[in-house]
Amino acid sequence: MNIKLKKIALSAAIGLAALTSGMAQAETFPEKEVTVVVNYGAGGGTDLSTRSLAEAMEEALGKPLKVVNRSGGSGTVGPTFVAFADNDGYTIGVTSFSPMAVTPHMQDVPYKVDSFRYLGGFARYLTGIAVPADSPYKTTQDLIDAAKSGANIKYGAASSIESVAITRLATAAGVEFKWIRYKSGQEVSTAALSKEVDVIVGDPKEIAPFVKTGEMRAIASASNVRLPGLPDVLTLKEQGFDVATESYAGIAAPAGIDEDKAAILEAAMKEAFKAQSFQDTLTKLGLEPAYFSGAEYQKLIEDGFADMGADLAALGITKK
Amino acid sequence: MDIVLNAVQTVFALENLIFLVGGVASGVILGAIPGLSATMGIALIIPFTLTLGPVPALLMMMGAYKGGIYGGSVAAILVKAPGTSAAAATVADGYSLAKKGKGIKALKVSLVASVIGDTFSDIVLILSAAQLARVALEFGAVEYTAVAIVALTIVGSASGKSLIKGIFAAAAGLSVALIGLDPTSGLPRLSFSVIEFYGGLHLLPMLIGLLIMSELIIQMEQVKSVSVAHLPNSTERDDNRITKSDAKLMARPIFGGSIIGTIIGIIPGLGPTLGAFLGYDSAYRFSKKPELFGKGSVEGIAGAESGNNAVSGANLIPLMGLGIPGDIEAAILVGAFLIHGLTPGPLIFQEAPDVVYGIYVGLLFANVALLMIGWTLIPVFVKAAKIRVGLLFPAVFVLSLVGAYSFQQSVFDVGIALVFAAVGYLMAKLHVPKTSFLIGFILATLLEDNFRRSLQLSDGAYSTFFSSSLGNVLWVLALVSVISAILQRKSRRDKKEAMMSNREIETIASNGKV
Amino acid sequence: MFSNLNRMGNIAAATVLLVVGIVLVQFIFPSQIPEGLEGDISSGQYPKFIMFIWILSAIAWLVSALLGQMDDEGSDEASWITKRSALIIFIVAIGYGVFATVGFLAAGFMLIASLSYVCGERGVGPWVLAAIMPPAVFLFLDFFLDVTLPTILLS
Repeated sequence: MNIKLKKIALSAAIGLAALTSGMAQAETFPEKEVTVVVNYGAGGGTDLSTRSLAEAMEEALGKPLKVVNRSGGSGTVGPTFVAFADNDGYTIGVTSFSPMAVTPHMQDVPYKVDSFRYLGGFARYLTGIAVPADSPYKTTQDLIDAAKSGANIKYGAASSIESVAITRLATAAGVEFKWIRYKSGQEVSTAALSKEVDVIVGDPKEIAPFVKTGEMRAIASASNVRLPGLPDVLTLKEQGFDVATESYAGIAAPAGIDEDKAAILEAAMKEAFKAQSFQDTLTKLGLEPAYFSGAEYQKLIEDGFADMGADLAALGITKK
Repeated sequence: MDIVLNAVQTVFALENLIFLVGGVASGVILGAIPGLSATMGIALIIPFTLTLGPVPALLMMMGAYKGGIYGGSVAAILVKAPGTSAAAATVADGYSLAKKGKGIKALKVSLVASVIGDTFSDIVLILSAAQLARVALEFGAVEYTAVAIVALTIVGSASGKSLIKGIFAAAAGLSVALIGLDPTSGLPRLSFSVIEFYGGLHLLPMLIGLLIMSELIIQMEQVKSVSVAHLPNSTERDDNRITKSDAKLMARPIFGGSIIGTIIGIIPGLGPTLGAFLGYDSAYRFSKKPELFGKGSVEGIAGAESGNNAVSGANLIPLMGLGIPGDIEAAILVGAFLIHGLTPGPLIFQEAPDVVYGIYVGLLFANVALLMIGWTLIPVFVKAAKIRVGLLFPAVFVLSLVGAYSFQQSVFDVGIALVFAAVGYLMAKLHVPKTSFLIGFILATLLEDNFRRSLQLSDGAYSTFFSSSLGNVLWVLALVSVISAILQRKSRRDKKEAMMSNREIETIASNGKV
Repeated sequence: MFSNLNRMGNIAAATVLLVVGIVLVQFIFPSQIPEGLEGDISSGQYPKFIMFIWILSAIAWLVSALLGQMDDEGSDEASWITKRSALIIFIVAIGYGVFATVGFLAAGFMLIASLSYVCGERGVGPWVLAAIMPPAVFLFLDFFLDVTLPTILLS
């Protein structure tokens, strides 16, 4: 409730300020609450990190931000909502990598990469590769050798992006692994613990705790950097395989927004990114804080969209 | 011991107490309003988790979850409108009792069963989370497939008069669940390029249409006199309390429901709705008065309500013991842990024992709070449900519209609810059991995911389904369940036919046409 | 005896559902179910298996209805479409339209007032309820649950 009360107090104060200072103040953006659309359900990693970012942005903007969840359609409903919202700057939303660069290859979506004015990226999702602790495969090379000598290596992964990550490795090494798809990262962890699959690909927060308890062995980071909480685990590049897969979280406004307003929002996000509370939250959630400007983020999405198209087609999971 | 004392002190610190009780109360009230659900209560608490400490935030969420599961049964009993899917098994018996003027008794039975189920599973959690959590690892794709089949066999006893229609309804539920993403490729299936179909239909809007709205339409078309109160008043003292003979009847179903619910909770991914249906089913199978089921059986309410609440504590077992959340609510709890730098799982017992014991003590106290809050609110609920029918039904209808929308703030979902209101209306007119449809829909994902995953893992060999001993035990259980359901149906029909033919003879005799 | 409402209803329903099932498998599934990964069980097989149960039980339903085995299910619900139920369904459909276009406050007012009227309420009660309840619900959801119901008045 205190958030609500804060909002009310704020708007009352703003109302007074607007009355006393007249027209000049009324021209400044934003004049009222800004809605932030999160494309996944309340309580998840994307939701919590965006809420934390929004809280920090409130300070920078001087206006409350209201976080709403529009989940569904593998995270594509949120961006759709933003793409078709009024471009007055009062609706912005999460445009994370997966619904922007991956899912459009698999489903028809009503938006395109250029349906948005990107405000920036704030986090990097990392991907790790792990095996059960008592697995006969101790290293990445073991897995590849086994596959080469005819073993049917099955990997568990919940998202297409994670599947792409390990498939890039397999292709680089000239082998094939078999994908067993799970609904969630937790199911993937369970599959490793019960040894249903040989190897799993997943978020560090679904691997690191089990490495600590001695039930899993992390064999590689599939990203460009090492995994948080697992500093000794080498990246695939460090192990001599020239592949890396990353994904990002960022926010955007609908295309066609007034450039001045977009600049204000972009600056506010950049400012909010530096907030210690936000950085702490991200780290606790197993995400790596990473700042990209609006233009940089757009480039990431555009390049990612092109790369992913080829990788997903190789996996055989693109729409007709 | 110190740590337990500290935990007690933490929980009973005024601030924490307020959050805990507030969570339970908001869960009960939100759950009781048809269409709104406990999940919304939990979502409401999420913003607080950023600023609150871990113990009050988690207690508030757990309180709302427990309160919500009980709260769902309130509208199921008083208005025939289950507030949550977990209350769907309570509707028939609860509402029948309310219609006879025994609404207060039904609510009390539900509350007591809920609280006992909760407490039982909390105690199991506290005593043996670490050991029992390993059980979850015994369940692989094959075992889950078998669990889904065992659970599907309850269609046999949930089908009412016609088994054929029950089987059809279950198949229809399984087919509707085909809409969504193909589980092996992640490509959309039966989406007709409608973006809202990509992720599949959600249970809540469907449930609101199928069970609540359709029922309200039927009730409204049957209103004969508007000025009567919706529920009759009974001044009979025994109608408003749990009598000694009720208590005797309730004991066995509550015991069964608590155990079944706890087992369901330990296995990740099954959820309270299944706990309710299986609890109800077991109460029915072992009852001495199975003919009362669906017509106001105290045993039925007790079995269903202990079954669903027992899931709530037990689904923390895989979370605490293994680090794996058992359902959506538990997954939300993970977020609340992480934000405070804690990782649920076996290590938390060493890293933050104060939090663990704080939660344990809080859970037990939440049950006491639920009993007190629930008991206090019973007369309020009963009074609210007693307004004139001409006002009550339209008002509840509007509330259910709101519920369908609020779930994801989607007008499309309201449309889904109305489509299923029409489906439910036709099903009622044609005597097709809605619960069978619901059971099919709820189990569909579990069945398909694991059936197909089993075959992927075995490289296509069907023999994999009989390769594990736990799986084989479950198959035998499924077989026993089917056979006993058929025998029970047959003996019931024989009884009825015997009664019928007696009556026919009497009629014929009295007509003197022999 | 075709005057039996139950039998007619069952025959009609089972026939329609049988046809729907066949149409789904034959005409809709091929274009709406993706090939997906080449696997040990292809993406098309499982849906067909489920529809097989659908079609089989629809046939059983039809046969048993034709044999008259479902005639005695009757209850008070068997009274089919009455004038009032048609009216209620019409009102609900309009209500949805109003909800989606004008907003919740108007839809709530209209639904409560007209449904109460259909149920036979004539006094001021329904009007008072229709005027008070929707705004109260709106404010409750907005304030406590951060859910904003659709409304053009307040956007």
